[in-house]
Amino acid sequence: MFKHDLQQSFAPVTEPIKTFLNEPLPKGVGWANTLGSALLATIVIQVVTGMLLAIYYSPNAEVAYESILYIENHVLFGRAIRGVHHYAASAMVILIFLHMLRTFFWGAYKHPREMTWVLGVVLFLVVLGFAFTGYLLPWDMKAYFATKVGIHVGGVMPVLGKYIIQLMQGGSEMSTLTLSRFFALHIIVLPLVLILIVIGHIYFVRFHGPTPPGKREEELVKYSHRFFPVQLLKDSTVAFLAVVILLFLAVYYGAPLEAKADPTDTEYVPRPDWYFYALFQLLKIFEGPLEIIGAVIIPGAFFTILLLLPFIDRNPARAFAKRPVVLSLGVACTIGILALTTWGSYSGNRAKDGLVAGGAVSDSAMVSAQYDPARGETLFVGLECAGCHDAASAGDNIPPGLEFSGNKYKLAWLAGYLQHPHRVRWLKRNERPVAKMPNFDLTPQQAGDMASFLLTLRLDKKFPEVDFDFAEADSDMVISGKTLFGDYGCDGCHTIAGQGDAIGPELTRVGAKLQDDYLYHLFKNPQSIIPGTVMKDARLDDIDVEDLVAYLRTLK
Amino acid sequence: MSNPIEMNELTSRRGFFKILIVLFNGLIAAALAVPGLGYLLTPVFRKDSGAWISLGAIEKFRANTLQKATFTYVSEAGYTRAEKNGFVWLKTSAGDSPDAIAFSPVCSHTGCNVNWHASRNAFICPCHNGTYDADGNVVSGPPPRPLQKLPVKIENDQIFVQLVA
Repeated sequence: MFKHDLQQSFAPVTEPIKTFLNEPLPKGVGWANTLGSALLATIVIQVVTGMLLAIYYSPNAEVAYESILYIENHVLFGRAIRGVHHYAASAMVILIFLHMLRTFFWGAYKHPREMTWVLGVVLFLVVLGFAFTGYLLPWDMKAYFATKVGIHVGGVMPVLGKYIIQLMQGGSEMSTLTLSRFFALHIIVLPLVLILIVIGHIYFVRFHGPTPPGKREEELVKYSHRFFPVQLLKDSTVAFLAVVILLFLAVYYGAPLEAKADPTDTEYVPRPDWYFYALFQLLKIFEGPLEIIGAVIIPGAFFTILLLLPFIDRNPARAFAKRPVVLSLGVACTIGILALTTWGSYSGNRAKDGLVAGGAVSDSAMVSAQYDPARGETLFVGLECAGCHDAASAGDNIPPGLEFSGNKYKLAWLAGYLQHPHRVRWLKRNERPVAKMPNFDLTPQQAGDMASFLLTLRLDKKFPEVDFDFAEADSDMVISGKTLFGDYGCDGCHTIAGQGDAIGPELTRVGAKLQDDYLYHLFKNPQSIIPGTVMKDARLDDIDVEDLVAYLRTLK
Repeated sequence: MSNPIEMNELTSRRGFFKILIVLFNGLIAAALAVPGLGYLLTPVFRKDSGAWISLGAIEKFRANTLQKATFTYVSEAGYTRAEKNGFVWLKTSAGDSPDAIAFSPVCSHTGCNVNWHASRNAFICPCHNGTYDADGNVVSGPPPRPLQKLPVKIENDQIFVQLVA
């Protein structure tokens, strides 16, 4: 009796659910129709993991990166949750693309479902907006430089360009203000828009019902089954598989994190995440004054046509044979997008080549911007590196403290050294190696992760930025530096390519190993950098030091 | 009429699908909920190690008098470190083996900072007039517990206090 009463009380909730579950489906609706609900599942995952990430994340350029490291290394399941959020973003783009392809080829965008399609295209744009605002948030190298490229695209617009840039950056340069506005968009504005659109989209889908495959709207539709249980089971299966794959990727690979953003870096070649490769490639195809074609006109035209597709293509037929023109164009566009994406993924690897050039160990696959300092830190702790590399006791015959590695070493050299300590550090060519450091048999990835972690250790007070860009040193400076090297008797202690005495460190490839600014400070004040060193403080003036550094940095 | 069939719901195709649907969606929910809960509860399992904070030399303080001992300490919260100011109510005793007691200024009622009123020989909380005697015991007002006594040690005539035991 009581049970019956309650059933009636909850009828306003249970009745619509029953109607929802019992929706009749036309013949032919099946696995292909699961993409939308899989997409919905990834949206739910993003909402949940996003809320969790926001609990520890700080949208402030000073500490954003540190807060990500904290999530990765110190919060229970932090690494997995950030990983799921990262890979689910990619999954969303893939699923929305497939979902749109399915809708397109089935002609499901046609009357009377125009608005469902329009909402779907807007949803696609919102998802791309999420992707763009999201990858700035870690404030690593990729975040900084790839977003810079993205903002630059906004500046390509005639007349309005510079205002758009200011608006996107929240000022005249990328800063905390950029980060906080991207964060606000990413976690407040876009989610609200997304949720409203998703609700609208699903309402329209349900109102009109699934499109009967291959049938015109006015044809008699044969309903063969209901949403519950078969279709719901198919939807659940696909969503479940998606979650399993995401968890695997998140736990096994983790989300990438590069070194903390360094706006002064001149070697880093930014690459966006894969889903922007097509746009990225368009930017590269159209250069100079034609840039606007790749940056604005082609993408703009593409999305306008996409948005208006149901109003442009008014042919009511849904059978493939009766829509040759539109389908051919659709296939062409799909191939075009896939081709641009693939092309974009192959080109632009100059980033890797540039870093490896002249590196101490250039044979291996060292180098990539895909190193993860968080994993490096975990490794650093796991191998107990600090047991020997103790800043307090550094000195003669004691391993160096690493508290300013980030001011000292270059990434490729350090990664190479960590992978093969004995191959890199020789007293003289072909003599017994002097590196006391054990070989930990790190993989190239581990060595790179560790190196990128060590580069986050900086003492910027001790090594203030030198007000001279050595990359712009001309050949006169290099020649002058080489002469000074002899004049000051540096070769009395240092060997370069077999010339000179081997009392101090060999300098044959010092340019690949040490940063320009570190060399500068070393010349200016050897004792303060390496306490107890026998290196003379020659009291050089700034110009001589600059020339010497300009010379040494060419030794690679 | 329908009962025998419903009894076999588990083995029927429809019933089996129902179970699979619940299973798959339940696993999805668990895959989010379990790590999510761990993530949320991280601070609960974290133990703050109580560092010893120096209050300075013992002769800086007048013996047998309750007084405010201020200090600056580095507070580490997750990925941030900040210098913070703090204080305790301190009473030292001179002699061959000097000693000290430190009270946390945090009222046990709602956490306001209590003040020492020498004239009334009492700690009085500004928020709800909670009153404690010189030993930190509740005299009147709403506080449920005495003031917290903090661990103190004296080394080389320097006083150290531990904020988190």
